[in-house]
Amino acid sequence: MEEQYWKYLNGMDADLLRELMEQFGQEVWNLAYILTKRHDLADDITQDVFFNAYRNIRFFRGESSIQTWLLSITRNTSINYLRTAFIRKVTLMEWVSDLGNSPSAEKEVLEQTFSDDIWRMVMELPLKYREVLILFGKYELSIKEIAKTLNISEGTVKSRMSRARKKMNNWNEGVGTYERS
Amino acid sequence: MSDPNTEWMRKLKETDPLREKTFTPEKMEAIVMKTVHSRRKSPRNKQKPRVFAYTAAIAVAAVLLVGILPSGPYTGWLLNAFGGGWNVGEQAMPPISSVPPTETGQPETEPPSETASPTLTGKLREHLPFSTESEMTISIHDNQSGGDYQVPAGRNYVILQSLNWVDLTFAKAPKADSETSVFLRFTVDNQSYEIPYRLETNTVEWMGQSFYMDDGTMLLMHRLLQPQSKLGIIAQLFEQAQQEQENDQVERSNDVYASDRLEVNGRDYNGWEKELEKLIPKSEQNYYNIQTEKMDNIRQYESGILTLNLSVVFEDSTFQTKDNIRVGSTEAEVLKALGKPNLKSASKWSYQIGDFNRFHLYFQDGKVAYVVLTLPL
Repeated sequence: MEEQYWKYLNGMDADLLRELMEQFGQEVWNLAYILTKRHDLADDITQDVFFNAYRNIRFFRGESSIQTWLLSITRNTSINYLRTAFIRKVTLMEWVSDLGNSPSAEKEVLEQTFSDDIWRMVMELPLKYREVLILFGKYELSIKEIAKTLNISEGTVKSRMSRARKKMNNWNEGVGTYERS
Repeated sequence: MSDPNTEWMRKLKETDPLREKTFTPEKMEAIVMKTVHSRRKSPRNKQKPRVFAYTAAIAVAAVLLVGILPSGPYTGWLLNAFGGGWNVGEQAMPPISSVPPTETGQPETEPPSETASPTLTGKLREHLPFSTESEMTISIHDNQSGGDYQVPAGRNYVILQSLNWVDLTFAKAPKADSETSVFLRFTVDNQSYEIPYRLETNTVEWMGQSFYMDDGTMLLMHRLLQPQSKLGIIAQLFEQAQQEQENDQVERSNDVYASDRLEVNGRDYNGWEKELEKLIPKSEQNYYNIQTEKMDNIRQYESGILTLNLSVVFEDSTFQTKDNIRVGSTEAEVLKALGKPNLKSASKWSYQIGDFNRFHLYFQDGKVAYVVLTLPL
C-alpha cells in the first residue's frame, strides 16, 4: 500500500497486517534489538508493536510517515520492557532455539553476528546516545520527531547526537579501519 | 576520498545490525495468528456490544425510576437494590480506599465490602497502594494452618507480572462464596500489604471483587501450597528446567530433525489443538492470559493430556513419537532413537522444528516424565 493510504484505514485485516510487517517488520525488529540487545526481547517487542499497530491503525493520522509511527511505538515499547526487565513475560516453555537469557549467551551474540564492526561500536554506546544516533542516523527521523518520541527537548536531542557522534568518531579513529590519503 | 567519520554514518544507514534476517516469515505468521485470528475466534467480541446495550438500557431505566419516583414504600426496594444508603443526586459510588499499611508492621487485610462494589477498570497494579517496581519480598500466609511460605526472590516476578497486567474488566471473576484463608503478603519499605488469594479459583480479591490471576501465578501457587498436586509437580519440574536455562546449564546443538519425528501419535501442536477441541476435559481451571488479554483455562483430559498456555502436555505413556519416545523412556533410549537435542539441560531436552523449539521432554530420575508440544509466540 502506498504511504499516503495508511492514514485512511479504520482497521486492518490479515493481508494488510502482513503487508505492513513485510515492509517494516525487519526495521522494527532491528530497532528493538539495538535498544535492548536481546533477540528474545526484540521478538516480543516486535510482536507487541504490530499488535498495537493492528489495534490502533485508525489513530494514525499521517502527520509522520508510517515508518516513523511504528518506530516511535517500537522505541517506547522497548524502553518499557527495559524498565520492567525484572518482570519477564516468559512462559514456562522457552522457545528461542539458540539463545538463553544468560549474559554469556548475549555476549556470544554480540561477538559473532554483527554485520559490520560499526554495529559493535554502536551497541557499546550508552542507551540514551544509542537511541538518538540510530533514530537520526539510520532511520532519518528529524530532530523534532526524535524529541517528540523521546519526550525530551530538541536541544537535548542535539546535545546527545553530538556526544554520540564524538564517541563514534573517537572509536572509529582508534580502530584505524580506514586508509587516509 | 570520503571522510571516514561520515563513512560510518553511511554504513549505519545502509546496513542492519545483524547479518541474518531475524524477522522471519514464521514470526510474521505467528503475529497474524495472535492478532487477527485469535480476535476473530472470540465470540465475546460480538456479544459485547449487545450485552453493553442491554446493561446500559437497564441502568438508564433504573436511574430514571429512582430519580422520578418519590421515595416511599414502592421505591425503597429499588434504593436497597442499588446498595442502600445511596441517594440520588449525591455521589453514586463510595470512594475506593486502598489497603492501609500499618505502623506496627502487622499487615492489615482488605476489609470486605458491605456496600455494592464500585466498577473497577484498568490494570490491577493501578489500584494497589504500592508500586510493583519497588524492592519487596512476597510471601504467602495461610490463616488456617498458620503457615508462611516465602516466594523465592527469583520468582517474585511471576506474581508481579500478574498484578501488572491483569485487567479488571476482562479478568473479573464471579463473587466468591467462601472465606479465604490464604493471603499474598507484600512487604515494601517495612510496610506490609495483603491481598486475599483463592487457590481453587486462582483469584485475588480486591475491593470486594474477585479477579483471575494469570497461569504463571496459578502454577507457582500450586507448587508452593500443593506441591504434591498434579499442577504442583509439573510446576516444580518446569521451574527447575527454566532455572537450569537461566543459569546457562545447557548444551546446544544445531542438529536438524524431520518434523514428523517430533510429532506425538502422528500429530503436531496444531493437530492436537484441533483434536482436543472435540473432547470434553475432565476439569478446567481458569486464568487470565496476560499475553492475549483474554480468559483462558488449563484443561485436564481423562486420557492423560493437560493443556497449558500454548502447550500440550502428555503425561501418559500411550502417547509416543514415531521413534517410540514416550513417558518412561530413558535418556539413553531418547538419544539412541532421536539423537541429541538442540537445547539440553538436566531436566529438559528441546528439539527444534524450523526456527523454534517445539518438542520437549522433561526428565525426572533419568526418565521422561512429560512429553510436551508447544506453539511458539
